[in-house]
Amino acid sequence: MIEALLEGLSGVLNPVVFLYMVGSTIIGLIFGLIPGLSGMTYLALLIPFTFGMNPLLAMTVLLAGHAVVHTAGGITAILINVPGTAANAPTLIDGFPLARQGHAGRAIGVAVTASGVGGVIGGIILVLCIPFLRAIVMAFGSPELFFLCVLGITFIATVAGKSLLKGLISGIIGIILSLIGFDAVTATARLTFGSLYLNSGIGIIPIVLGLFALPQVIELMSTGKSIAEDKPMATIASDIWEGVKDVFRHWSLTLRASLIGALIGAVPGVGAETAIWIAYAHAKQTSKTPELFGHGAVEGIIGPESANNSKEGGALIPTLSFGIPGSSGMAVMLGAFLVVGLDPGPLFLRDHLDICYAMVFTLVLANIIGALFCLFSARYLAKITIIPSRYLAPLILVLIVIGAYLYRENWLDIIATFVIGIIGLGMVIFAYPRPPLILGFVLGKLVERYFHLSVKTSGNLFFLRPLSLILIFLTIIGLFYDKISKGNKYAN
Amino acid sequence: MGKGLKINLILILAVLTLCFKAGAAAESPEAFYKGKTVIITVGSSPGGGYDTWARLVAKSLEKMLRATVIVKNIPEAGGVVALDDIYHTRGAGGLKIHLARDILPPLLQATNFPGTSARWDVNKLMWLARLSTDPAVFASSPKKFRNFAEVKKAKEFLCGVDAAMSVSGTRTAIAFEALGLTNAKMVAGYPGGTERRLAVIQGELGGTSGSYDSLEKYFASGDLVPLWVVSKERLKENPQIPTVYDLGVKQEARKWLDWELEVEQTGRTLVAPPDTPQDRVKFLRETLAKMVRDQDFLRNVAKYKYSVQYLSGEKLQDIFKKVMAITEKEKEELIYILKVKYMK
Repeated sequence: MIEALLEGLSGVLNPVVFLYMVGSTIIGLIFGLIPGLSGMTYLALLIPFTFGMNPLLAMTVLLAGHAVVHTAGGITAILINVPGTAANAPTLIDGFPLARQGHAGRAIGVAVTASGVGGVIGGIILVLCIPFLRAIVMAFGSPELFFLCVLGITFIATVAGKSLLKGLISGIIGIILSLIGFDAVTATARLTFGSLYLNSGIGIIPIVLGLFALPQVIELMSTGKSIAEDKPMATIASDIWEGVKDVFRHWSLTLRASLIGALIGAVPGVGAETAIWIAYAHAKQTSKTPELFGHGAVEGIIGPESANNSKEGGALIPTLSFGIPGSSGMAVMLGAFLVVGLDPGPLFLRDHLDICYAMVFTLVLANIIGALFCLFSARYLAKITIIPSRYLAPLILVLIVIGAYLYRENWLDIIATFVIGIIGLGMVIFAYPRPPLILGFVLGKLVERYFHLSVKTSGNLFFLRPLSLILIFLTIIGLFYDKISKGNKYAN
Repeated sequence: MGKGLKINLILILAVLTLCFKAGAAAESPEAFYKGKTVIITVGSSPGGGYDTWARLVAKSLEKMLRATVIVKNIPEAGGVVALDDIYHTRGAGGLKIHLARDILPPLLQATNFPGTSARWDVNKLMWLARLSTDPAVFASSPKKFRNFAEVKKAKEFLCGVDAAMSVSGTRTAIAFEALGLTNAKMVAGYPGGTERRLAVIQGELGGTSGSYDSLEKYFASGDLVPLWVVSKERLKENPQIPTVYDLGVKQEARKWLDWELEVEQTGRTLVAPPDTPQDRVKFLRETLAKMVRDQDFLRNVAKYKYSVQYLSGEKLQDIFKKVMAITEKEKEELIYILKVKYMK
């Protein structure tokens, strides 16, 4: 085992491999900065270039770039309220308000450092889990996935803001939107009104862009001010450094959010979006100042950003142990591995343990390189927030349209973005919280699917399984966490 | 402008148009494709098996057509949108082709699939070539069932499928019908084949289906065991696996098994829009026939552990004519088998 570990490390530190890793990391960051381009697009475009490379080099090129896409995706969320990828959506809730207060540097410092640290923790978790990879994946059947999603959906109450009723209404709208499309169980089209486009459901990118980015553009146009609202900007370098320190000040949250990301990433069928929203809600729930969330709380950035990079380490768990991808990106990576002669699956750990460790080191190093690169670029990028809105607003609008189109290369997604934008604007005007809608949208269909599968495969008493009971217990704790913690405060 | 001048101008324009059209008509398909951009649409996300096939074809076609060939993913509705798009495309002139998903096109038409009924006639499409086809292999966990006899004896045999009337759902329902498995039920709603395989390994499901390539490594590790293959002949890769015919097919259900096997012949197939000019259809068919013999193409295909089972466009066209000749009553019967009879 130690021999394989050293072999993996020396392979990654080979000068040629390392150089390729740096190059791929930078390309991955560029993909993250462009809304609509995802880690999957990175992989699909880079795979042809790996034809003919040796397995280690090909794996490094693919994994390094893919691992850091979300690191850069947080930057656009903070600066212009347009998330680079869907997994950066929660970052804008607190990142953008911080930028508006003149602290774009600090917000980027927090996001990038949390991403880097989260990615490293994800890699470490993967190493620690190698002896138990199979046991972890085997533990999560449909009933456990159902209760995991239920746990997630209860966080609607946490992210609801001041009015629980408005939060619930928002969450229900999200659930209804998630139900649009072809229903696999009954083989019928639901709420599609005969439209083939709606048959496949509304995508997460039009929802996020419409809810958050479009209302922001309208506000920028109407006020005529810059994003930082013409407030004096803090000294950028020291502000970035402050952001870096914030992550280590909240080390416990960084660690917990990374664990959430890695654990949910390891469960095939739940998805990255679930991990980041649960991490965001967890950050708010355990914060000493939850009232600051939505107004520039650094914990609101640390939670999702730590989770969205650590989940890649988690997603490698089922990919390597069963050949079953833990995320859509890993599904693409599986195909690429085959080309270069690697076949992840039940026998992979036995035959290629050195490559497995090399993957861990690639994850760790790429995250460190990516974070450092973003930190050095942040001082220039942060200046976007002082550009007058007459120049910036049209540019953001173009980015929104490009992002919506690139998501599925479907112009109807642009229309969907604008329709959702009207809903988003209405929610801003009538003070309805938007995060519960996203949480309802992400988890609504999953709850329905896994409830159906649980009942059909395990019967009506599907909840009587050890891990299910633990998840039910955690859900109850989560629901009453506020009351319990308030009770403790009074008691003290 | 004088009247005479106007007439002269119209005449000149008419002559120029005629010359241009004549030139275009005289242009050989080979010259037509040179330097143009060809789009291959694929009804799945980047990275999956279909996408990989499309990219392999794009790479080879670029060389053979001396054109730029790009792949466009239209994954919506499990490939239905992409198929609908190629069916309704007009005026592409052979610059747009589609890689169709297995049995999806005839299945949609035969079952009046939601949102697509009365929109379709697969016989109008220009079928170019089949690249590959994989017979469905059924597998179980050795902790549950080791062979067909154990499946038959069981109180219940739960099989996972993506959706009712999906490719996996159709293969499963027709196999149950053919084998007379009255104790068998389908559970729909799994996101894909990988999740179904995991559910079988975990013991949540009794079995599932997939291509031999996708299941092979699980057979090698002992996580799964093969039960049967839906094919007339045994697999070359593993002749130990019995075919459905070896296990005894119910006489009254034989017609649906034969129908499915006929449809399965179509496999991963390239298709052009209905109005594609005949000379370009012919040229594309010839080019693809050459491509499947090209050593570079075959080497790249082998890297993915795929194999080519070519079938010409003309033969595909005949198969589609045959499989779509089913009556309305037979359609109803098929929908009942696929959607109701075995659904849990």
